[in-house]
Amino acid sequence: MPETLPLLLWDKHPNEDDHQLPKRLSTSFTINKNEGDCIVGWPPIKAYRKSVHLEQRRHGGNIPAMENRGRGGGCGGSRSMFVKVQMEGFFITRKIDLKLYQSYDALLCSLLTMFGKGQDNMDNYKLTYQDVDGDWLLAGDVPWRTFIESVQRLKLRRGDE
Amino acid sequence: MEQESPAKTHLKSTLKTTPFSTLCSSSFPEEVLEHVLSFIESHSDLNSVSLVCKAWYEIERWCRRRIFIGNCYAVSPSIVIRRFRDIRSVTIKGKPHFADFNLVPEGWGGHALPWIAAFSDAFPALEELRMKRMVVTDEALELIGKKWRNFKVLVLCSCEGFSTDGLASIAANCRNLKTLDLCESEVDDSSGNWISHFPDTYTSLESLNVACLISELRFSSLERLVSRCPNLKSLRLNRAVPLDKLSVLLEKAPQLVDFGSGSFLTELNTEGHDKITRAFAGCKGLKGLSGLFDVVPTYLPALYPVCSGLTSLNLSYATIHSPDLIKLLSHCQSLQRLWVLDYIEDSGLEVLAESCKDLRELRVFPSEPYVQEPNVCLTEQGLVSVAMGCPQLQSVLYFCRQMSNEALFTIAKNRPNLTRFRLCIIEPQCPDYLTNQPLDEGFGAIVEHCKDLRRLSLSGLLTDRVFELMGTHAKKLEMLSLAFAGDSDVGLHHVLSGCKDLRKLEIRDCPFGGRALVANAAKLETMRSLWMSSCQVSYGDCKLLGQKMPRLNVEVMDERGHPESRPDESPVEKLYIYRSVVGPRLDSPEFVWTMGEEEDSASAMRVSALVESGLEWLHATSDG
Repeated sequence: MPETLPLLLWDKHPNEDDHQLPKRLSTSFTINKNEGDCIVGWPPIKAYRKSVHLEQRRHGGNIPAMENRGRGGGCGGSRSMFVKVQMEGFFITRKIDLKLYQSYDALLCSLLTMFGKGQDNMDNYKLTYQDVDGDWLLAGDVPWRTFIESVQRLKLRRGDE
Repeated sequence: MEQESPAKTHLKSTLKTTPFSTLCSSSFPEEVLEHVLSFIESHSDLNSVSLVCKAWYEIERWCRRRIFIGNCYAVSPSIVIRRFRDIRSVTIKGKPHFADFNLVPEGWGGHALPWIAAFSDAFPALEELRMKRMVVTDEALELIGKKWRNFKVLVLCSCEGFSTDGLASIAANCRNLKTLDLCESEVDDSSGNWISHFPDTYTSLESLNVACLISELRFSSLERLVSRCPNLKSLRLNRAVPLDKLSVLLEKAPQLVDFGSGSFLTELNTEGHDKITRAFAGCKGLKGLSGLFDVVPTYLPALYPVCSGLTSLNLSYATIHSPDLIKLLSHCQSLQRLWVLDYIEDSGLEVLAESCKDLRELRVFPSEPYVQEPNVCLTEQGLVSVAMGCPQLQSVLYFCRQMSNEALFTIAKNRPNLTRFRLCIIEPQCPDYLTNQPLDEGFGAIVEHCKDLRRLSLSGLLTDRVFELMGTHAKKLEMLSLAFAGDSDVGLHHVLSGCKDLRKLEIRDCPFGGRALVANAAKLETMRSLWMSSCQVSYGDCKLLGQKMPRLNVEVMDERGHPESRPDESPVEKLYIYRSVVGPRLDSPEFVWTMGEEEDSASAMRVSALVESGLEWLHATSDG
């Protein structure tokens, strides 16, 4: 293997001082999450596995009778769990699993966190969606259940624009 | 151990006793060397062979039949074609592994078409194509069917971008197809009619995996296909195939070795129930069983007759209670691989440890990953039971909600033969629940005792100490996944400088900056890839790496727009670094920037300033 000189020399024995580095929880580095609910990709479960499992709920499959804590239980609805979501001013379109949410507020909160706007006031944003007929509508005007049955894609817009 | 042929044994002893220089010399006939090389299966051995001398390189490039490309952007189709003459089998991987968890943005790349188009002209005798995490279009699938007359094996694992139309063209055109495996791919699934495109004369199918499809396959076509393919060994159906039809298929193919069922949701009358029991009992050679979507306990006894022969059981889509699982598992003494949901609980794993002494691989998935409070009694104790009770255990993937250093010590001491250990404690930065300490020493024990550990995923509360232990002990580690761990660059430095065999490293949400990368830049060239997202690598460090290491592609992904619009010291969102012999890729989407593409004096000045500041930082940390 050809040796390449390191761009920086590293001291082989990081000294005792390292143990006095500020513990990370007290540094400015914190996990980008919202009440433990909105960490994208955590726990590390394949999207495929998630969709199979949720499909199971949709079919009212035989889920062992545990207490329904949090968001247990099936949601009615559309076949595809994942819809694309775009945010105004961002290059990247994301995919989001709608089955993980049960209300507009939870969805919006999660979306804002996903786009790094978790600190912003939710009221500054408008969530719009494209329905089965291809029309763009303002989310929140129909009951949640009706919404997830017809939503095809989402777009988050700044409210003040 | 496989019995060696006398010829092979003879060749082996010749190779052992003949001086190396004689072997290399021209007196050694090419045909003989070619014959010798045909026995070498390992890709890395073949690579070594090709490095011996020019003559060996020449011969090897003519007779190589199988290639493995671990990263589709590390090499180009034209380079492969220039070197090899008659490739029959290709394996290519595309997107980074973290794409599985939605961390790689849509449209990132990993396109299959350029490879298939180029190879279809250059390697007309190609028979096998295996792709993982690639974007495969219907056009690409059509090309396969049209160009490769003797095409036999298509495996698309976690791929996307194609529809059932593409599958229809494969079915219609690949007359010698043996394997069609759509393993966890995302297929645009408009109807189940594609299965009827297999011609009536087609009988060569050996393995069909369509478990990831949504639509119901046209049953009459599926039934005829199954009955006319006498060599069908593996059949994995999707959930849409109803229970009452399983018995029909099983009766037509009692020779099956591996079976993935559809849904068990249908209510059966007594006659139907008897039929399914008889059908399973008829499959005497069954070794693998999966699917079992929505299975209810009533139907489980139908499986009992085949249980004793099963070596592989995937119950990870079967939502059944621990007591029913226990009854089922107590019939499965030969089991080597078990995938299961955490409904198995500690009590079920204890029974597993007692009854399945041959177990090699265990995966336990969470049933409610997004719920904070535990919904089942599955703790570190279940894993400890299996580690102590199953002496063959080598591979573990385990999701749980609590862990202790003590448990990890016990696992490490009892199972030094572990080669793959992936532990996911669902709550990030969760400490040892008994002592409230970091899990450093526990994971340290794993890397210290398990000398052959190849793959490791860490979770829980971890400081730089665990990485120090890894750098010291994990000498054979090849792939490492990190999340929410460590304190500083020192941690990453330990891993990069200490883990000699490390090939793939993926990191998310760790406070690691670019210093450790810059200091270990040469190490990065020996690795296949490094992924870092939500860490603290500055844009300046990325640029430095890109400019100084021309053999590395340093790709920055940022959805906030071009990183040049922010200060150099601001951290980048996502970073993907990999070695490549072709330079920056040409199909980057608009949110991927490859570093070092444009050199200008201003950036050169920034680089020298960075090196200086880096050295200052090193002095600061080493002088204390």
